[in-house]
Amino acid sequence: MIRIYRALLVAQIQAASQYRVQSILWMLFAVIRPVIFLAAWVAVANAQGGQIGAYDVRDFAAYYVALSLVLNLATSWNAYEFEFEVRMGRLSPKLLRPLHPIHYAVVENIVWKLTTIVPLTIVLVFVSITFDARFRTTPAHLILFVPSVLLAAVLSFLTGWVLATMAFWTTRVHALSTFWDRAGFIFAGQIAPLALLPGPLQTISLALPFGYVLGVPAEILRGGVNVNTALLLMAGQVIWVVVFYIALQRVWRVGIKQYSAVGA
Amino acid sequence: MSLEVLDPVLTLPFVRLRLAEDLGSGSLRAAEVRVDVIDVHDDPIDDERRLEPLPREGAGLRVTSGTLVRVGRMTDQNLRPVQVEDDVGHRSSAIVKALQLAQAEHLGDPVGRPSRVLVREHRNHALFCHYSPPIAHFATNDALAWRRERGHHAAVSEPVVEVKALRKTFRVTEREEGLAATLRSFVRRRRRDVNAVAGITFRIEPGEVVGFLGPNGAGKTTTLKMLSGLLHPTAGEARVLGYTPWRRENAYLRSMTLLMGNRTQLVWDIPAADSFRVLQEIYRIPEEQFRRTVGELTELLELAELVRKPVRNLSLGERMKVEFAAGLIHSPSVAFLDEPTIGLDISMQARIRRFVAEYNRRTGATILLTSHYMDDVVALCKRVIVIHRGLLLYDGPLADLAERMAPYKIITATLHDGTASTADLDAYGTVVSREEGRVVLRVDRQVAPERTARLVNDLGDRLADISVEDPPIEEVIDRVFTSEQAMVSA
Repeated sequence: MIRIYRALLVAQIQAASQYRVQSILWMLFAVIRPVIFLAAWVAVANAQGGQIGAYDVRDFAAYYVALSLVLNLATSWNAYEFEFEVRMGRLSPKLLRPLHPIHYAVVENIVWKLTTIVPLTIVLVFVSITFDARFRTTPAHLILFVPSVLLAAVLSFLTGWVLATMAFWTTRVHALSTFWDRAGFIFAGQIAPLALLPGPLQTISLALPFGYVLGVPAEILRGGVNVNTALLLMAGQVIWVVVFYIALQRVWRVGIKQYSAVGA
Repeated sequence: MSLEVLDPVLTLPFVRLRLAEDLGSGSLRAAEVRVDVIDVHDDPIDDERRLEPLPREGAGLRVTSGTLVRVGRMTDQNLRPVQVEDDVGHRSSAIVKALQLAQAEHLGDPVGRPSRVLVREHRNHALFCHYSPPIAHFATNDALAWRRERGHHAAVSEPVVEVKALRKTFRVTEREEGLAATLRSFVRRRRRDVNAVAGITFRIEPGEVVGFLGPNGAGKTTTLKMLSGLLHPTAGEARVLGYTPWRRENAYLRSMTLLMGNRTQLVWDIPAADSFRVLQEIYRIPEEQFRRTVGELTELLELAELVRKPVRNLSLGERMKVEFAAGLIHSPSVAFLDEPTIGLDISMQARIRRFVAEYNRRTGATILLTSHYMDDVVALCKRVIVIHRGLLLYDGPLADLAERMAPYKIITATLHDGTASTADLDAYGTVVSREEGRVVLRVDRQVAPERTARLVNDLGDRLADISVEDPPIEEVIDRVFTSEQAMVSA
């Protein structure tokens, strides 16, 4: 399996290298949204005397810089790609080979992350300096951040695939995944840090998988939660990973029978 | 001398017998069993083409009354016929007898290389003919015992593809045109079941190249998709190489391929050579075997220049060649080819055809092929399966398709004096066309020789040229589909 991954990685890096400019533009596009939220919160905080809840202007800056990094490291676009593949019959060649199609997506994600991480870091350092971000990160936070962002990536990948697998039934998953993404807007900690969400919304975001994909690793990286809370939140991540792993296996097994191999 | 029996046809006489028994008929025409010994290096396909039709000495006999056995080298003109008296139930002993004769006559390779034996039933020049054979396993105990005694460990071969009452129904949403209908469809959707494949049964023996024919929407591609494991059937069974395709076991996926003429499975942005490396790892092909296969494919398909360019920079024909290499890189023993020459120019079509024939010859792979180009089918397939509206219409030799479906011949006569437009030729057959000095007649198959002779006689010196042919295969196929439609509408 390691050899397969190595070969796939080489091929994918070659393919991706042909679209370097495009990747960087996409990466910048992904950073714009958090920066806009950041600017908005900075304006609001300044209007209210520089502080909202536990966050001052510099905390907001640190949170959104961390969030941008997590957005890049943890999220994936499987549902959209997969729907396209199912609808256009592109999945068929992959299904014909003795390798689960999920592995191609894993590799694509890894390569995307590898190719964008350097320019992204430069941009984020620049944003941190501009907004004078204050990180309360301790070495313990940094150590916890690594497994936390990995769990977030796996969780996001699995939820994406479970949604994507719906394409076997509807071949119109776009609406569903867009809805999921918009929900993530509110509940994952994009529109505001989870701690600033009104009570019920906060409960929902931690009861559902959303918060564990973005908000949790971002807060850990910023040092916004203490180590005990961080471990508790990571336990939540593990639970959701297990739930979606089982769900994906079930849904895939049933869904593959529905595949109509349209077109091809 | 060592004999290896090529099995494809061995079981077919039993299929026919069983069929006859099932129908309660004992009067099926006895066929000749012919044993051909071929050198291992010979090309059975070419030999097949060279083979002259045998006289129908056994025609009209009851099955019970005897079977004619001929034994000889494939290239021998003087085959020694041997009458074997046998009962219906023991046709297998006729074959065994034939094989023994082959050995007794020392018809194997003189240098002692292993020879191959083709056992087949002859009906006219047709290799065999069967129509939707029942799928039961025909135990040929005698033949098996004979082979076991002589150390032939392989049993009478299992079919590579075995399909039984396979069905696939798609549920489609229907909507009428217009705003009102669109709005209604929001509330209630009208669904309709479409039988893409409505229950087909066939089997394919090892090494066969079978043409899968039918008009658009007949269910060909759906069948191929089920056989390659992409689709789950609604009902029925299929076994390919002993696997149930839609379980998609890795062992199965490693031993088959599905190539679609209008689809790409290569990574668009990188050279094919790099995609081949990925496939090497996915299929776990050892380095040495990989190099050898890639070398062979590169030579056969003349790929050397192409594999280094990104796939998106290749022309359609070039890409198809590379697709073939990618699809066959793991040396599959079963290949499903769906319109492999679609959109290609004539010379590229011919090259792909030659490649498929050569691949089959070199590897003995079993191939099921669909194509709308009859040239593909004529060049590659001795046997065709015709389906229409998801049902099997015909399964048998391509050569018999014309005889069965178009019971007439085409006589083309060219006249010296250009009087074809005025000459009264209606008495000889139905005039299909007249132009310049050429007239084309359609004549009932049975009377064709006699009519031809009369034409030659009557026209005398005026006749410049005359030919008697089967109708073009396209016409035959078209006839099959239109007659089926007529049957359905009636």
